[in-house]
Amino acid sequence: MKVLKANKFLFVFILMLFIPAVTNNYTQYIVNMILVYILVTLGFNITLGYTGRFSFANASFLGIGAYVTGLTMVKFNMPFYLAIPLSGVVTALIGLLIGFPALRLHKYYLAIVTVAFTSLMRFVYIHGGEFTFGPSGFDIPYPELFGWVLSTDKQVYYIVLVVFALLFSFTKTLIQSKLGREFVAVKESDSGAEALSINSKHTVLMAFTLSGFIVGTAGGLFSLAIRRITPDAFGMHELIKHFIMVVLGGIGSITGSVIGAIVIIILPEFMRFILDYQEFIYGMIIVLVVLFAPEGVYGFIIRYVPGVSHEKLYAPNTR
Amino acid sequence: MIYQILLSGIVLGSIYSLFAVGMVVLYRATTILNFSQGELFMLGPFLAFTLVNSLHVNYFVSIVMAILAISLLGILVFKGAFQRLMEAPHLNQVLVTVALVYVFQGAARIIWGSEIRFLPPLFGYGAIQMGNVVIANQEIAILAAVAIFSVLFTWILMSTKAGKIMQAGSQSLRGASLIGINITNFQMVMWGVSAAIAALAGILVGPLTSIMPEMGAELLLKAFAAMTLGGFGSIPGALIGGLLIGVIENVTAFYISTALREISAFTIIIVILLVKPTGIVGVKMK
Repeated sequence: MKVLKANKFLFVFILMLFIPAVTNNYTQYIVNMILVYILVTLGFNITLGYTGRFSFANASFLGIGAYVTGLTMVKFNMPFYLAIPLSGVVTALIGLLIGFPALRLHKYYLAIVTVAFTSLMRFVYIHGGEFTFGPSGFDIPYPELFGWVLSTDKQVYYIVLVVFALLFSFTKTLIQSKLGREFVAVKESDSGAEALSINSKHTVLMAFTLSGFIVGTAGGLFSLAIRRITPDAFGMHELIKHFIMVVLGGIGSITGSVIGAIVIIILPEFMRFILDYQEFIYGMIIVLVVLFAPEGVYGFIIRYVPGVSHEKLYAPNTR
Repeated sequence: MIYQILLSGIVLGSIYSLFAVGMVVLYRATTILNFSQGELFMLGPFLAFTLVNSLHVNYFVSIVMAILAISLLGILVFKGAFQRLMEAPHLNQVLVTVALVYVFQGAARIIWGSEIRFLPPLFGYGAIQMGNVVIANQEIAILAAVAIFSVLFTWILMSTKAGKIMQAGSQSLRGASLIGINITNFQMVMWGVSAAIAALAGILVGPLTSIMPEMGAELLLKAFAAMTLGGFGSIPGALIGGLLIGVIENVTAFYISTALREISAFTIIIVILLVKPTGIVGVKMK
């Protein structure tokens, strides 16, 4: 059975290798973004969905990852295959840093501190002077591999795909591991988890660190895919996008994260003719989903479509 | 010079105070922290602007109408969304308030566009000079309005039946419902009150700054800072905290750097939460 499952993954991966054969540059860019945002949503789900903490720092995690990759590539000529893991590690440390106040602070306080942190990071990018290129941002150089310049979206796709495959299986394994179950236990009740001899502090810190690692690495990919980053790209507007992806797909679900990211990346492409209404529509989507389908699209499918089974760990309700 | 800086800090701070009180009132009554409070604050002056400029209503009448309309909007938000979410997890409630930020900002952009607009001052553009301190008419109006509001609100809270109901409901919803207070109606009214306070703050500050769809987002963080500094969930705390934040911002801008002014509020939030999470008034969060 295990072999079969592993093969299923491999099968999907091999199929995905051939996606550039059927895309043009524009659709390829969208595919790249979808893969990046699936990782972003998964990482967000670890703190928000599985561990149930009001961490609103996800957009800044993405920003830190993007800036670390971009700046090390521009300033130090670091190759992308070192810059992207570095993004993950740096953002993991930032995640750990956010994890400490998350241990002590009531949920609303944590929301406020992380919102303040998001604004603080924007301030750092803008006033970082020469080092962060100030308010107008900067262009990301083309990644190079053994002297070969990867300049098109289709070439960048293979970088994104490899990192995506590694991180996606890592996250899936993580969520189904003992630690993943401990996340949910801590969400349900700190003291209840302690009674089961789970070190709740350690668990929360791990959740924030790993979430930082996943979203930060995704940030590195993001900078390669989007080619130009600016301080304003990682503020509250970005955060709401992450929220919609998590909520629309289904809080605390891997399949939900995938659905949320795909829908929210593709949807605006069909809404170009009503661009002015986009913000309003996004907002209404969240309101309607929370009111009428609080378990998201995936939760809806499980409930009403016969034959679709639950994921092993499903954690829709958050305190 | 220092007096001028302190004065404009207090004027700015009194707006933060008023806005933060609106948030606290709602938080105490419903345990919801309303992230879209800034948008109610923004819609108030926009509505007043349209009433004055397009429908040529008298300015003072249009202010009253705008405040009532936003209050009604608050009630509609409760009826449409939060009444169904009274028993829902906090995360779902917060998500809806965050989503409403986008609904309201998006709506404002659709209706009024993105250009900056100006609301006329309440009593003309003049200013009064006292020694070497200059104070604009609108600044006097703000200080007077916030002072009157604070006194009136304290009186309502302390001496009227409605105020006693507010106090009871804010202390314990379950307790209040046991002595025959209709919790649903209570929360509905408090949404209206909180929205009205936000709209009032927006209309007062509109002539000083300018009105645009993003104007509320920045204020939200200032209000968070005011609430955290004063003591989360305390009305006097929010008033004191707001004034202090306003003064601290202006002093930082003048003596240290104008760039740091932007982040003084966030720095205060982070420092207070690490050093003394109960704030000045010292309430423990439930």
